[in-house]
Formats: sequence, C-alpha cells, structure tokens
Amino acid sequence: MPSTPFKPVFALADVNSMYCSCERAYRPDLRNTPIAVLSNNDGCVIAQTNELKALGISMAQPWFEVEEEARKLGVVVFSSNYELYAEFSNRFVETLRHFAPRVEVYSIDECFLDLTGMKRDLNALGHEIKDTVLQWTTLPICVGMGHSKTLAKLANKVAKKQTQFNGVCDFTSMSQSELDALLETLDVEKVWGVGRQLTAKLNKLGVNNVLRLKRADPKRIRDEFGVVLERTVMELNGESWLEFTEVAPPGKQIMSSRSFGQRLNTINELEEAIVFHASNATARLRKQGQFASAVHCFIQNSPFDQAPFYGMSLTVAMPSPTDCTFKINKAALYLLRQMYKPEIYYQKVGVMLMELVPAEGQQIDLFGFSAKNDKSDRLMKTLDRINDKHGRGMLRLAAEGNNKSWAMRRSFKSPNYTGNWKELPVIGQPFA
Amino acid sequence: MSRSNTSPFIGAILNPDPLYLPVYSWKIAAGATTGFASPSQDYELDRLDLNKHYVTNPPATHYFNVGKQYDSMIDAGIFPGAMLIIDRSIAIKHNSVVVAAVDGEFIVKRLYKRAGVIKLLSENKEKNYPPIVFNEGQELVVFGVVTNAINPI
Repeated sequence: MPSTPFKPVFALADVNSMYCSCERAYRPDLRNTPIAVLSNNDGCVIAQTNELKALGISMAQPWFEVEEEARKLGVVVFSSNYELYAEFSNRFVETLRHFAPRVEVYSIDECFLDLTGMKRDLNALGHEIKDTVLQWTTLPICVGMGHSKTLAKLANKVAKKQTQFNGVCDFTSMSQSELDALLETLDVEKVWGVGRQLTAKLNKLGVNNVLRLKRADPKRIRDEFGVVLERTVMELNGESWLEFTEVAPPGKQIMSSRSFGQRLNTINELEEAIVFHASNATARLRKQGQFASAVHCFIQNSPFDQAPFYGMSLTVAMPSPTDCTFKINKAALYLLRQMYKPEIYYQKVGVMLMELVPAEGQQIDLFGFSAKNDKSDRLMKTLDRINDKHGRGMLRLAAEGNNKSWAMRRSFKSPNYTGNWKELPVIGQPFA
Repeated sequence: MSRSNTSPFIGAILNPDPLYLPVYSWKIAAGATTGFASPSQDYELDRLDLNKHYVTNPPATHYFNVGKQYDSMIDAGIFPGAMLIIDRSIAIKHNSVVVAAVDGEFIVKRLYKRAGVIKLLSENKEKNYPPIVFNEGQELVVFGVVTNAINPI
C-alpha cells in the first residue's frame, strides 16, 4: 500500500441479528416479539433476537429441547430462508456503496468500508450510514470505526454492546487516553482473531485486557504465538496490516481470492479465475465436512490504477445447502455474468462460500460420491438441462421420494418475499 | 524530472507523485447504484429497460401485491390484484400514497398530513370507506411511498 498523507480509516458495518431482522422486514407486527430462526431440517436455533437471548436460550441449541418453553414465552419461530437473507445482504451492501467507493463484504451481514481521506465528522457519517440503511432496507445496523480493520471491528462490538454510543462508535475521534481507558475494560477475546484458546494462554501471561495486548511487545508475541497475532497487536496500535483472509472465523465462511499481477479484461479470463477459486473453496469446504448455503462473488479493478475504482459483489442463496463443485461453480459464474463490465481491467476476484452448515443431516447427492469424477459432471449437466427445459423438479433424486416425507423440513419458512412475484407481502391480508 | 533549457515551454514532469486530496463527502445519488461515476457509464446501449425506468433506487425499492378483494384505492388507480412499487428513500409528504401497517395488516392509502392532523384516506367514490384518523399520541408507521401501481389487464 503506498503511503498517503492520510492515515487509513476503516469502518465495519454489521446488521443486528441479521436473520431475525430480515424476518421482521415485512412483519412490522413482530418488531418487539422474540424471534428464533432454525437451521435446516428445523434442527437447531441458529439465530435469535435480543429478547430471546435475554430468556436464556443459547445459540445452536436443538429446537425440540426448547420448543415448549419458547412457545410459552411467545417466541415466533422461522425456518431459515436463505433466499431472503442473501437478497437483503445485497441490498445492505448496495446501500453502503453510496457512502464509500471501497466496500469489502466480510460475511452475509458484515462489511468493511474504506473511509480514508474523508474530511468529515466520522461520527455523524456513521449515523448517516446507520439511518440510511435502516430507512432504505429496514435493517438495523451498528457502525464501528478505527485506523485498522481490527480496531474497526472492536469499535463495532463496543457500538453494539454499549448503548450510550447509539450504534456508532468512532475510535479515531477519541484521544489516546480515552481509547486506552476503553480498551482496558475489554476482554482480549473480543479482538478479531483471538479465540478461546488464545485468550486462555494470554490471560495466563497476564494479558487479560485489550490494552495490555495493545502494549505487548510485538516480537515476543510473534515468538510465542505467531505472525498473525503480532500483526493483530500492530493493528491495535493503529497500523493496518491484516487481510481478512488471514483472520476469517473458522467454520463461518470460506474465502478464496487473489490479486493478479497483470490485469484481466475478457470474460473468459475472469471465468477461469472464478472457476479456480470456486473449486478451491469447495475443496476446502469438503475437507471441513460442511455444506454451503450461499455463494458470494466479487470482482474489482485496482484502487491504485488510473481508472476510477470499480468493485462489485453479489450473493446468491443455493436452492439447498451443497458441497457440489459443479453447482457452486455454476452459481459463481452466474454472479460473475451479472457484474462483468467489458471496459474494466480487473485486478482481483474472489469467491466466498457463506452460511456453512455441517454435512451430517444434509441430503447427500447420489451423484456426489463421484463428484471429482467428470462422469458425474456430465450427469449433473444433463439433469440440469432437463429440469431447465421442463421445469424444476421434473427429475429428482429417488431419495427425495414422491410424498415429500424425505424433503428437508422447513415447516416455518417465511415466503420468498423478495424472489417470487407470487409471494410478495400482500395489502389487505392479516400478517399471521 | 527533466526540463529542456532551450525550449520556451516548461516540460511536463514525468511520473509525478500522486496528489492525495481529502474527500468532503460522497454524493448520495438516488438512482446511481454505486453512488459515484462508474467508468462504464459512457458505454451503455440506449435501450428501454423497465427495471431502470421503474426502479430508481434498487436497495430501497420494495414490492407488494394488492389483495384480490382490496378496492379501497381504485379511484387513485390501484385496483385489486395490482402490484405496487414502493421506494423507502422518497420523502413522505401530505398527499403521498403510502403503504402502512395498521391493525395487523398492510394497507395502502392517501396520507393526509396538515396542521398536526394525520389521516389515511381511501379513494373509492362508490364504497366511501371512512378515513383512519390518528389522534394525538397515536403513532403511524409508514412503510414507504408508492411510486407506481402496475395493474394487469
């Protein structure tokens, strides 16, 4: 990164209880109702609102265990509706693009914005971003700002948990002593990239709050814990060092991306790159024993080229969670075609697999066992071609059965409000 | 840096350092999906595109179906079975046609907002539905302003 007279400023914007907020978008009657969202097959609680957290129901708790108690407390439950969440995620990102040219999608509900060089009151800007996202998309968000991504992420956590900030916390406008006093009150576990195990080790060494971690000797940290934590320490001191591929939370999403030495311009070159990254990410997905529910793709030119910066990204929900290379490639290529512009010289592309779910309990494709085998690719292509021509579901796996008793249980799924003209919210029809 | 001693012209400096200028704000342009000039804008074909015509701010645009029995606004051009395009980034004013949530359902009405009086009015000469009045202390939450109603024939 070339040195500029401006110290880098990053913002992290994230949606509060994303899945639940999406379910509330067209259900104003549920604004103050506790909501739970269930995983595939209605197995576990994977999302819950603040009211629910207050009731003591933990995340990833099997639904059948808590169902009776929850019903008594007036919880409204939904099955995961990834089409809805992906669409709202795209709207969230598109709104953010009005505030900064460089928006990097980190997950389905979190984005970094590059606010370097803005000569504006950042706190006021943060509120404008928060209010605009709420007004345009109905989603409530929090915004944190700092001189590094690690600080921005920490500021975001503070904005969310400490109500006096009203959802926006700007570390860059605090004095050193003010910021340090705040950091002293925070657990090291709150820092991006510091997990439970690392926290325990750090606490043992007497590093039991973020201020102490900030003041730790980077060389010692590197010797004891490795280069990533060393960079985290430098980031806590306001230097920007980390790429988020280095700190991606394990099991939450898988990112495969690369910057090119030279620029790519033709659709063929980009398709090749996308296929590489989609396949790479899918291979890692399988190794982790997971399926992906959504695919995200981004393309951009270089922010340091002469031409104005062009960066686009889109997310699509998979019809059902999958680990099939062919299906994921198809989704990623589809997204590429929505975003590709022929006059841009691209420098970086990436594919991210999101909303990962464990492989057990998912329907295994009969053809999936030989997924690496190119015979299955041809079978898949034929299957898809016939379904495209005669309508989805013309050919189904025998395991799906005819009476749908084997079909994935999603008894509480809300309508496809944003993806099906027949399922739009209706005027003149009671909500429940 | 190289300059010619004999020429009356001042030579250009080769490869100057980039000049970084502060940014005061980004313009929020309703309708621009990126909020700032896209390098590709010069290259777009001149074609009629319903999407671009009806949707000026995609992330703020929401769609509703009007129930088959709902005839409260036929004099405003909204017929039962219509599809409504709502833009949440448009300012809500007196006389706007709005979607709001009232008594457990979404409704679409004309907003009356004058001199501290807030009412939602129906437009159907024949049926003459009564207005919904919001008294002091009552809150009306508007979902958004209707920009277009698409009535299938």
